[in-house]
Amino acid sequence: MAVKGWQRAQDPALLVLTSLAAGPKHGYALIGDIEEIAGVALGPGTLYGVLARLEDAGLVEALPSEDRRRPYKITSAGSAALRERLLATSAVASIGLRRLGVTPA
Amino acid sequence: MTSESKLITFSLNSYPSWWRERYQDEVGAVVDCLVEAGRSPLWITANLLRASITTRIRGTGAPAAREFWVHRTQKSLMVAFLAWFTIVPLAIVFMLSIGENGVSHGNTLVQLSHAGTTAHNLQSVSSIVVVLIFVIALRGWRQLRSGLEGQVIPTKLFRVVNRGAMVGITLTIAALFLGEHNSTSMFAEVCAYIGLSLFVCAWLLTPAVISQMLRHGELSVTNLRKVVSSSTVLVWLYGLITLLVVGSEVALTAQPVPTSGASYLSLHSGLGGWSLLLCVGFVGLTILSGIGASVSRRSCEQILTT
Repeated sequence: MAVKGWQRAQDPALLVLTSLAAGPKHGYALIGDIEEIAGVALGPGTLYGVLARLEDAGLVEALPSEDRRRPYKITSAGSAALRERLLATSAVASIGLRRLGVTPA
Repeated sequence: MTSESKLITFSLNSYPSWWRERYQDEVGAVVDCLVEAGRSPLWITANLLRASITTRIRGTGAPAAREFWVHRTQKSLMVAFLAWFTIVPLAIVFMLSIGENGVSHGNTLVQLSHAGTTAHNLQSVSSIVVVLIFVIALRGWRQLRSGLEGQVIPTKLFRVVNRGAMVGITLTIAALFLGEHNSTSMFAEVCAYIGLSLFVCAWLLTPAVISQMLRHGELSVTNLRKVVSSSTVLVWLYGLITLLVVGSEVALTAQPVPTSGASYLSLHSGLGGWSLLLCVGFVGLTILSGIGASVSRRSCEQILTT
């Protein structure tokens, strides 16, 4: 049975960093990529709120703009933070899967 | 321009200026692409409006300059404190509207049930909270004045308000003494009216004086922290008095009266149906003041890190 609101519990900052880990992207490309990898439709307000916070924290960096579009890239601090977070999440995930008797593919 | 694109433009303009300078163009480009891809403009508008409120509260993407955060803290403190000028008169209206314990209905004295007794107890506690609100607000005012001492030259408005309030209070006190003798009762009435009018005018103009002082002066971090903590305490007290007022009005409606269809609340409270509006006022002002205090606390923390 699907739990309502389960997908909404995903952290937008984590999704943005994961998407940028594949290479620099501008806002619309980020929204499309996140929808593809996580099935979460981020609104423009939510996306730029997250980007501003990540930029303030030095985890992403804005590149020179192309017309009205401005691409963003993940910084080395952002990559390190993402790696740390994903390792912690994957440790919990593997324990959870083992306890459920599921063998990861 | 369609009404939908007007809505989107409105929601983009609802962001603070610092955010618009930095992000408006790119967000506009993303919004255009989303609309072209068939996303609902209403969904986009709602998302932008919600995010703009969050941005204003959190100050996301704001410049790191210390002056910016000092002024932001002072502005939000103004919001947190100015609610006081409405909450206090509302609390006085609430207390004046309360009758004596128990009320006659026709020739029968209504026996207070558990609900009625609770309502009266809550009303008594609320008057203590009003006194506490007064004390904390005065403390905040003193901290504010000492912080701005020597920086802000008292303006004409400040002097007028200060003298108006003093003369108003003096005339009102004089009226109390003059009213005791029959020969001067008419004069006392005139004094009381003039005194109270002056005091109310000064009360209404004080927020303008405070905002003028905060706009032209700059508080030190130590003073800012003190005023921020006073505003936080005030917000907790606003929350408490709101709970007491709402709780007492709800309990009053649960008090039974001998005649079916009659309400103890309308018999007992001078406000009757206006009680609902009073409760809405208390809740609204508490939320507004809470937002002001929370923004000022966050901004003050930001000053310490810059």
